[in-house]
Amino acid sequence: MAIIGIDLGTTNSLACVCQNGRPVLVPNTLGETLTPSAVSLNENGEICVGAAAKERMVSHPEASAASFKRYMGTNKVFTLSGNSFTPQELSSFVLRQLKEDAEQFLGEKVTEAVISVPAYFNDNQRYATKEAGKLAGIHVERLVNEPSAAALAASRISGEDEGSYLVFDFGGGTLDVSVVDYFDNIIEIVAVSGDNRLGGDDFDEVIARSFCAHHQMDYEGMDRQKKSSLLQLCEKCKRELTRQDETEIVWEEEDRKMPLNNLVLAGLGQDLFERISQVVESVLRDSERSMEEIDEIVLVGGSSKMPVVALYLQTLLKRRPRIIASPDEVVAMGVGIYAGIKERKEDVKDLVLTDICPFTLGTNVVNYADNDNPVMSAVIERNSVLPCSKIAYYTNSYDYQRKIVVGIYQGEAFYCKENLKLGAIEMEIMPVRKGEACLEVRFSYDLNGILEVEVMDRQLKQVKRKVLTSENVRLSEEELNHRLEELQAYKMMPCGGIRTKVVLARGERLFAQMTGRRRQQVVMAMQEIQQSIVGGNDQEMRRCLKRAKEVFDCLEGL
Amino acid sequence: MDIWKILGISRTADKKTIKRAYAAKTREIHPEEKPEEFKVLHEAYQAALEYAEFVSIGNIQSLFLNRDEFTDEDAEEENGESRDERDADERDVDERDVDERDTDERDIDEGSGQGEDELLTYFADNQEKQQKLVDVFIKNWQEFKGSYRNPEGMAWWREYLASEAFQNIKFHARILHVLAEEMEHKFFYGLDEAKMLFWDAYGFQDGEEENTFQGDRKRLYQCLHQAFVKQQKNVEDKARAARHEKKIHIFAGIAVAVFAVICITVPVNHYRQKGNDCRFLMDYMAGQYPYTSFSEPERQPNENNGSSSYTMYASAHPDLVITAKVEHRYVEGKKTRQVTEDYKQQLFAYYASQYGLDAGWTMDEEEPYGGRQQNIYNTLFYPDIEQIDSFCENVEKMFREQEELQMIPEVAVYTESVLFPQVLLYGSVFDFSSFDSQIYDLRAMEASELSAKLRNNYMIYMFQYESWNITTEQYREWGAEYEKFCERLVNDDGDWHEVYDPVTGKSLCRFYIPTYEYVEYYHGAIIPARWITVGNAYYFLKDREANLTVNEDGSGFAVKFYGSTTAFGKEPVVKFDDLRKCY
Repeated sequence: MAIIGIDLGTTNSLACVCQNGRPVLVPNTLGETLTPSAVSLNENGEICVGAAAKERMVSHPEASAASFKRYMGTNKVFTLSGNSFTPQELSSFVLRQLKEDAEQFLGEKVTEAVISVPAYFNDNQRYATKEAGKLAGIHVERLVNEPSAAALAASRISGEDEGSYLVFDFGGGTLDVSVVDYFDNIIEIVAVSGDNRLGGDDFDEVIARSFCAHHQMDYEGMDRQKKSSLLQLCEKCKRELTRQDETEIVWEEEDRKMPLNNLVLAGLGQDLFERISQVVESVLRDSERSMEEIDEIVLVGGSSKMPVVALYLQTLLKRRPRIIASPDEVVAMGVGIYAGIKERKEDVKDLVLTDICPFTLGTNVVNYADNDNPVMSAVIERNSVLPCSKIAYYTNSYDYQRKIVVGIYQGEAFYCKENLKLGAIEMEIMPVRKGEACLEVRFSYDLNGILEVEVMDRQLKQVKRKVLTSENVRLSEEELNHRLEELQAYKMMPCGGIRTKVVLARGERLFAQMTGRRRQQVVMAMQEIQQSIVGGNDQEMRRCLKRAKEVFDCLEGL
Repeated sequence: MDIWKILGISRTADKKTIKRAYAAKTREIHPEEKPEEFKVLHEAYQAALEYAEFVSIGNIQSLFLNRDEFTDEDAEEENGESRDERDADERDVDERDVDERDTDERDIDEGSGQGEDELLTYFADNQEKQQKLVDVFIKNWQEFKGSYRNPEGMAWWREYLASEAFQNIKFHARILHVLAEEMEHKFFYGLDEAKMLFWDAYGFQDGEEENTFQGDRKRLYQCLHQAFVKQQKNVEDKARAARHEKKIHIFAGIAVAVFAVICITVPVNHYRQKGNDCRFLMDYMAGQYPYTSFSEPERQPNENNGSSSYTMYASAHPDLVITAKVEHRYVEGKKTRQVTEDYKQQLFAYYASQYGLDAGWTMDEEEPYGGRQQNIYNTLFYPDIEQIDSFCENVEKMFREQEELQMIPEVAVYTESVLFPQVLLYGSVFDFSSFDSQIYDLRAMEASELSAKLRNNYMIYMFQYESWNITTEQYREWGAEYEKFCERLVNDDGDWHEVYDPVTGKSLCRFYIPTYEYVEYYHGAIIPARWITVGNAYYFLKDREANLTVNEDGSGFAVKFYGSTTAFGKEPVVKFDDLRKCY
């Protein structure tokens, strides 16, 4: 009956448990800690998750899906070989896989998980994440904001006694920057800011576009498979640039090349750097801190491994960032520690992580200039510490008004219609002259991200309460259970074969990407594996797999 | 319950002590175990930190009179707060060995020495270069703001926005911020043509999702998108008007052939009638403003109610755009026209900017008998009481020199807006200062007279709402007069309060403080009146046996409450929120 921490990322997911006060990352069946957040449906109707599915993204794009986290909480439907899935269902497959890995690792059943979400996830997206947990058969009570988790890990790992961090979490698809204070056993998030559409993937796209411009190709008009394999090439080159200064994008299929170095990449990414600087500036503004008051910059997220990003930050902030642990793993470690806190494990039970509400919650008030366009009046300002409860007072807008509708909105825009509407409470009030009614509105936002709104008419002493669960995008309990059964019907690919499947999938991808003699080599390696599978000799098979891996590595220049 | 008791320490302004105490307490009261108790603890902790923050802002020593509670040592410690504290504090950290396998705390330079230097130089150069380009932009932007209708300026911008220099810095945070701020407020008074320049320069596409953008970029997109949509609509309208005209001609042709006179005259006349409105409008404007000539009006018909609005450019002042609405009303079969224009406001703003004054307008809505009535007041926002004389001189000069302003009958200064552009308590200020002396006809006003009146109003405002910011000097100067003023306010709901000279001990003046239950707040929200004035705070606190003391040097007050002391200094650092802490 263990609680695990899960970092459900856009590109990679990790599971982590807390053992003896330390976060321990759970290895998957391949022995790796990173499980790519990709899902694929194979010919037998089996679901495969992780590395194998990622390889199949290239060879079977129509049967695979990745980066679905970006669409959490929306009504987008992914179609894998004719079967449709929502983003939360796809996420649930990843969660199921991680849970099984953790059970294998711990040797006990996993019942509950703490999952990290980007700070900028709104209520719907958070709810969808919990729903994904439910669909995977895990109880998810607590969601932790990714920057908070990163800060938790950073403060535990660094061993410093107290100070302030700027946590720069630059993932595949999102950027979260937060300012965190820590002292003794307390970790406080002071402010969070982010851009939920800026990530390492944007760098891939920038490189791909420049590649196309270089060769006068049409990037927009490319078909899905071509685009995806070009993007993968670009991603590979981007990764190479973290280790070396120069590299070359070689697209064999099209017989085209382009040299690339970090300096060129720095020029290409100028737009993206501007957006980064906006986020950093806004978080410093929100936290009312200057750069001098920050003791350390912590880099989190795979994309912050890029030297251009780290060095740009160094120029921007006049401070050398620090890499505490592998940036891919920091968030997961934080969630793992949090799982330990949740489980009340001895070594970490005194830790207190005070999270904040990353967005503004408020209500609508009359806009005298334009009656149809009400203005947002903030009740809970963003960056308020959780749990938090705030009261605001409102009055009637015309004489003898009988009814007031208190709308509940989330967002930073001035006009309500540009913010996300979460619900509304309709309230009968005492009919009095304009400005004489007094309505007390209380918003309570708790640690689990549940918002409760209470409206009280001070004159009538009437109270109305509402706990917000906006029904539109959400499934009822019944539907959820029904869908849970349906999903359970999808068999997960058996664990034993995964190693083979990954290699085979990789082979299929390489086959699609390569031509000529290289392709021949791929075919040979594949045939060897297939023969050994038929032969049923374990040792022979392992040897084949190893050989194939070497061949593939060589072909890919790794 | 006392927050200090909850935290288990005595009152202190030392943030470190507060944090320590809080950290120690959380070991007993953990949010996972006792969420409710933790909430109380956390609130106490935050209140304590706020207190510490508040104390450290002001000049603590001079503001606190209760020296016995607050020694000089404490103050010193707080002043030299924060940074070096960490060194002094050496505690055992058993977490130090957490996760040893991550001891490879590699700095980023590992492996790639030369490449890194190159990159760093690149970024640094780039930053410097950008900074220069941004400065150019900001400088030109400031100039441009005053004269955006100048055709030369426009041409320059058209070129500049297309240039590589601008394209390189267009997403710079500062530029986005400046542009978004300006566009959201008054940029070009809705001159879409100029906005479209920026739309193109930023390469925004129609149909792009707003959510793609964040922060200032999103705001800018929103502003520009509105202009884009409007422009598209204009183009369509023009096309439709052209089609309409054509249709009429064809229709008229057929009509002549098939029917007789009636069919021809009705539609054609109808169209001509609308065309004639332009002439009518021009005549009207010329009569009203003989110093100005107007461009050919551009018509935007409103097909729903038969009225049209026109945009005209006032050639005497290339900056002025006026929009005028022509309404048609049918009175017993006869058509009458009514013209309204906002030229006056624009003219006023134009001249004000020429004289270095900040002009705008405020709207005052009344609903006397169910109907709605709008009064629009031109306003001049004035910067600071210290600059009141030069402000008044400029106002006088403007009205003396610009004859055209004499044509505008209702130009006046509305004191509450002139003096307190930052005041949010619109309604209540109105109640206090709405005397006949409030609206002045600026056309017949000497600078000295105006400045005296404004000073007087300033004083009243200060006494009523920011009494904590009044210096002893100002009490000596204005106290007696204010007391006289207060006599007009006396009613059953208030109380008189003495203010003593801290040096001589003599009574300087008396305050009259009316007490309200509530005061209207911005956007219809309401807050209790007693939060607002220190005078009222005084009244409220008196009941609770708190005391208000004037500082020795007259620089402010200190209010002692619940064992803590909150000071109100003469610098305007005190906000409503600070006052609220008294309770």
